[in-house]
Amino acid sequence: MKNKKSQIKMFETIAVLLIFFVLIGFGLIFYGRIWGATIQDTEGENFELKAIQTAQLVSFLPELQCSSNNDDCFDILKVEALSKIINNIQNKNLKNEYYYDIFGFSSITIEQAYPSVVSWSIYNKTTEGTKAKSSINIPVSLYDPNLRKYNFGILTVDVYRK
Amino acid sequence: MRKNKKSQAEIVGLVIIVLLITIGLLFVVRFVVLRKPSDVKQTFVHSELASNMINVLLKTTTDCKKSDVTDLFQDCAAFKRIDCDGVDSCEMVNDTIEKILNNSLDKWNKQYEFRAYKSNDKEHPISSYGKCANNADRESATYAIPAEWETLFLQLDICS
Repeated sequence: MKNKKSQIKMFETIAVLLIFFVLIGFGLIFYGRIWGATIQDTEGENFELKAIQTAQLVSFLPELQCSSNNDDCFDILKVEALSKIINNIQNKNLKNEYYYDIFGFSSITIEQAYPSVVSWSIYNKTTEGTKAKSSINIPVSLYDPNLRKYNFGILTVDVYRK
Repeated sequence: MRKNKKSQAEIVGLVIIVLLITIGLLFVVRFVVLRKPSDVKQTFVHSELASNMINVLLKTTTDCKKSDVTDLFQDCAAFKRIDCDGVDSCEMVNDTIEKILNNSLDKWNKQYEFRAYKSNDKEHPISSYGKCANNADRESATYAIPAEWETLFLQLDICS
């Protein structure tokens, strides 16, 4: 009789331990999921920051900035020249090494919106299996030194993430 | 008596476990589920967009006698002396702004409110484009242009 009672007690202890470990297991799964979501959020935030950083880098690129009065201003002649140089196949190393180190996987376009619509692709390097894209549009002045006019332009920076 | 005390202790244990689980859940809900998503990019883009937009807009040279938007606004707020092939400065500046806004903020489907008004006449703006909802979050940029008799204010709100 006493033996049976101690057996029941033992089963009770085992059951309690089992429930305890099941609860701990659920807790760990829950914690893991939440931790994963938090890491994804942080990754997304860092990606957005990278897009902002790239946009700022382009805004202050000496290859594009106006020689004088250079606040938010690109020189159209410089824009045309840089676009030709970077996209020239003979200058592959310039794009794949020098500018890749600065811009990474991104696409940089400058579009004139007034008085007429003209577009220049400055840099474009995409990667296979792009998971996400972050776009930033920044209004810029486009100075035409031939006509001594300031046109209205838009700098578009798209940053890609694998 | 002894059995009664034992069951009381077990109930206290149960209550403690339930309390601990509840506190844990509340903690998770407060710091994980109800956490506001980060809007670093949106804040930066909207504030940069509003200030850059007005800054660049004012510098833009129009088709009217090489005058920039600032010149046209100043003339529009004063004597309206600039003649742009039969069109006055107010009409010319509004036409230019409309074209620029159509090719930029409207194209990106951004909600905005642009107003240009004299310091003493806020109710009757020289220029007014776009509309934001009353309760919308706004990133705003305001520029002051000195005109002949008063100051002209240009305000651009980018809404989310």
